[in-house]
Amino acid sequence: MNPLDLFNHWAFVIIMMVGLYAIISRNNLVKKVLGLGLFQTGIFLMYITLGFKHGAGAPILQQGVEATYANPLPHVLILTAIVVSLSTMAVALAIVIGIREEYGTVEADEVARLDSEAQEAGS
Amino acid sequence: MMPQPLLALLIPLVGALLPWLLHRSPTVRNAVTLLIPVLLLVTVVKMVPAVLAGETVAATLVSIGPGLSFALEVDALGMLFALVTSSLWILNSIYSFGYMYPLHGSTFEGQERFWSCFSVAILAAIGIAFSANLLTLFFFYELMTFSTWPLVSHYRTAEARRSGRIYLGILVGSSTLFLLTAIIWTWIITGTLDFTPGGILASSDATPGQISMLIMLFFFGAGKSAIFPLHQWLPNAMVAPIPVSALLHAVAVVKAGVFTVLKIATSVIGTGLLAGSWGAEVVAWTAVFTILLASLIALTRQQLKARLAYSTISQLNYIVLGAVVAFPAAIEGASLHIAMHAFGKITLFFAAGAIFVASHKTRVDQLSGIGRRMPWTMTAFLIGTLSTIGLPPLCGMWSKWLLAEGLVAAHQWAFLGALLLSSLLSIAYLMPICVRAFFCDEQSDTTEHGEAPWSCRIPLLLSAAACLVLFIWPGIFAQLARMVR
Amino acid sequence: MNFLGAWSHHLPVLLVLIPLIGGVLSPIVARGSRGWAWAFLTMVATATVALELLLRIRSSGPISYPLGGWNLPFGIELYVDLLSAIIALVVAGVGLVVTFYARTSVRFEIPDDRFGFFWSLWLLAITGLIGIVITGDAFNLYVMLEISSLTIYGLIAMGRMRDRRALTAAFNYLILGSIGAAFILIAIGLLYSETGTLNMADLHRRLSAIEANATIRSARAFLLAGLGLKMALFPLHLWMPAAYSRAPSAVAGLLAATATKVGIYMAMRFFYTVLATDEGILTAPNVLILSGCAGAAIVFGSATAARQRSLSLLLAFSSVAQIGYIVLGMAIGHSDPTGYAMTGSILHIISHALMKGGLFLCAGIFIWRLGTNDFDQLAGIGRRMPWTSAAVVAGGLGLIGVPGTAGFISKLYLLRGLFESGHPLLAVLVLTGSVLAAIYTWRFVEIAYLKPPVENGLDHSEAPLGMLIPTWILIGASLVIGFYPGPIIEIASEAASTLLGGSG
Repeated sequence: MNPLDLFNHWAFVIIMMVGLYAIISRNNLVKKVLGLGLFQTGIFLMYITLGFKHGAGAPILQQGVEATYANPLPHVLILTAIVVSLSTMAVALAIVIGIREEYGTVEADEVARLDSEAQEAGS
Repeated sequence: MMPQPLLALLIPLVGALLPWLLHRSPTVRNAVTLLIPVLLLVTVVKMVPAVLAGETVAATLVSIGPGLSFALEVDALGMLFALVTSSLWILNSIYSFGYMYPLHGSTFEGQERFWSCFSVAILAAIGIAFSANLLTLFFFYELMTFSTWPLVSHYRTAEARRSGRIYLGILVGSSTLFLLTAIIWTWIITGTLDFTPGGILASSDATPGQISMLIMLFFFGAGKSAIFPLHQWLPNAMVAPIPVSALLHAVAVVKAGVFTVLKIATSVIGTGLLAGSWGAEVVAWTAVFTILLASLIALTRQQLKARLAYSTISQLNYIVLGAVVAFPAAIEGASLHIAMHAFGKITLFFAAGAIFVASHKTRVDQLSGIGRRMPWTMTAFLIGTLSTIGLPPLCGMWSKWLLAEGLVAAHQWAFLGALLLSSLLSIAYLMPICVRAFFCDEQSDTTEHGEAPWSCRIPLLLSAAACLVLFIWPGIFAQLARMVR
Repeated sequence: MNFLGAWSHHLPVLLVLIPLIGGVLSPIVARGSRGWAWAFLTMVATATVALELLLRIRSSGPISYPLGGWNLPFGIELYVDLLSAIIALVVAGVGLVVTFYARTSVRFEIPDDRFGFFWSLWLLAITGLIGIVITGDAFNLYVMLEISSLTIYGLIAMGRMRDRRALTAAFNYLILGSIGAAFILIAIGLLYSETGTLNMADLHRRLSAIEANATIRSARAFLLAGLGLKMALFPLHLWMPAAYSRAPSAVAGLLAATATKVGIYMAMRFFYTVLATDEGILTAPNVLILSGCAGAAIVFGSATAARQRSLSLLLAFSSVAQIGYIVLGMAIGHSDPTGYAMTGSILHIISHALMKGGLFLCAGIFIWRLGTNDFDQLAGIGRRMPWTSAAVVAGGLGLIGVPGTAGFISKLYLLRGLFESGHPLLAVLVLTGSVLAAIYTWRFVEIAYLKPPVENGLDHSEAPLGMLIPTWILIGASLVIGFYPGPIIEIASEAASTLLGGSG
């Protein structure tokens, strides 16, 4: 088992972890959203990797020709997942825009600070 | 044709709704407040002949699942409790007018809630009395806790809130953690929760260890019986108005607790299983400890209501002791004590309230010479005292006699000794009040006051008279008690 | 009842199509005040279909509906068994009642020009939630999950007019929820890589035939984490209190009643149906983790609820605890031969949906009248808003599990199941949760009824009927079930035994 054969697997795991790390460690909300997108992209790579077969061609039927096709199903699944990811990013960024409008900042710690100040002022 | 037990439940239910519906016309509401208890008593009494003949009047309300249903059944013990409750409700309602109106005005705050919660509490008491299985009993038991809480915290002071919390905490805590556990465990072992003469557990294959655990869970789960250490809610509940205390301590709540205990002893566990079980021993010794402890504490309390509260704790645990010792005479005595103690104790509480209404006095050391100003009240107090102590010619003697008989038959000499000692102690904490009232001179700073209003005095005198009458004719209560197995 | 005629064959897909089309058309059709009528009609139709579906399944068994006529197991299948139908009806039914309530509440919580979009998100959220419970395809479940999640994020964010912290609450929920959904996606991918199929029944067949290996164990782990997030199981519940208390009140009512329950449904479906093997449904570590988290949820949730200063936060933490009950029954249920624990869980799904939905609607009424539901503003409210306060008390009694409420019935079954399967300590934990629930319920009772009313010049009169009636429909239903639970118990135990049988 050549480790290089698992190159894809290493790649998507690293991408997912980088994405997760970005979500957790970055303070800027837009960067968090980017991290989320990265995380989800890693998953896409995972699915596509699943569909791979050695020596397989593109999954397009050719009349009368016997050939090995790569599994098209993961590709289809990923199309759906990409749409989902896109929508998620859109909603997330819309919320971030709203936060910018309300708080004037997109830094998470700033927002938290403004909230606690408002809380103390109100109570 | 509506089954009569169900009718007995519907009457107080209507009584609970009427104060809200009629809050614009107080006279109609007051008339109705007195009519409803009378209707209830009539309905309950109509079922007496059937019960005495040995039949049970039954009604299944809702079937829920395997072994689960809401169902009613009237047997001897239930009829006894229901008779006590419904007869004393009439007196208590009249007395409430006499107490609340002079003290707080005829439109006192929270009136609708007051009357309504009373009715719901009585509904719960009748429900407990007539329940045919543990599930129905548990439902009405919890209903009683929640419907009496607003009465305990009626005055809405910080102290009332605190007492309400202790009340709920102890009663809901014990019923949820212990009683419900015991009920579910019984359901698992036997597949049914229906009350059966001789006990459902008697014919099951539960081990003695499990039976002992169940006994302890059941007895300590019925927190309303004020067994140590669950007794604390009672003295705290004294913050409520006197009609509420009378209701709690003579009529509904505490009797519901000891009724539950007796019912479970006879119809769930069975007297046979109780006899040999170490769990029953634990409960018995705890009950004895409670009896003596409460009597001793009563000696130290100067607040009249507090003294009566501790006296009640002590008296209730006679019933618990009788239930757990489980010999026939003990069971009979315990059952009869439900009735006899009720009449005696309500007399005492009524008298305490009358004293407060007339003179605003609450402490025992303030009562010197009050017997001359309030002869009717203090005579009734004396009668109640003698009944509680258990002396002839008052009704309290019969139940104590039977309990003692039961303890002798069971060769429980220590318990018998405790019973006698506690009777002596009750002389010590109650008689001095009477002596002081009649034979001492008044304190110099006493304001002028007369007797309590008649609406206070009449129920008071009626209940005192009942103590006398029941001695001569224990009649119906004795018959019913004898039928309890 | 065959009024649908030829369409009756298509009931499963109609159940999803109706709210879907309703939602998509909403921005066009449902402008301004007409928006509510459109949403309400759509919900009536959805609820009717859901009821019809349940009755049909009750009488003739589960329904399988291949979408587009593609052969199974290659196509996407809608598979509705009794459990799915029950939860679909809960979602649609509670959704209908809350839609009725929303007519009044939305007017003051959402800007006028956004009504069309609000109802669009609302109906699409219902679509997603129902889609999750009736699909028989794992990836389709993920898609439906994301449909419901995204719309819910949007709905929560719409609470910004009342409280701008709704935005951060929605954002946090979005981040955490997307990570959770991504974990589920990973798990589905791993399972696909082992079996080559996405159809749940087929997955079950193929997984039963192979040994458990690292891939499948990883899939279980990812599922636990992802589903735990979605059902707000302690300690993955952190998004919930903020989200439920800042969302528009109708949204909070809907979510509290349905969203987490659907999450629990997903867990039941995956663990009991898909991943069930002959050796056992849940592995020992699974049971340990689930019951440990559930137990902690019960204690932590109830204890934290008792310390809250506002009604919505109290209710949210109470939900954490109640979800703990349901998950406890689910975790232990497989080792309980009599099925009581699982029945108790399903019963609690139903009863909690009704009670918590009603309670959040009450919280919304207070917000509507008083602008807040902080406890210091609620002093003495019992006299001025008697019906609303009574609803809170009745719901609270149900959370405690007082006999006469649906909460008691579900707890009774749950406790019996826990005792009988040899977990007395967990049963004691459940009972302790009840006592703690009494503490936090009584906090409200004391403040509402025993404290003198606060004078702040606001109009304190009772809520309008448009908000009061839906609240009492939900609370009243929980009381009715408390006294007459027979039919509900029957369907719940039937659903439980199907689940425990491990069939797909």
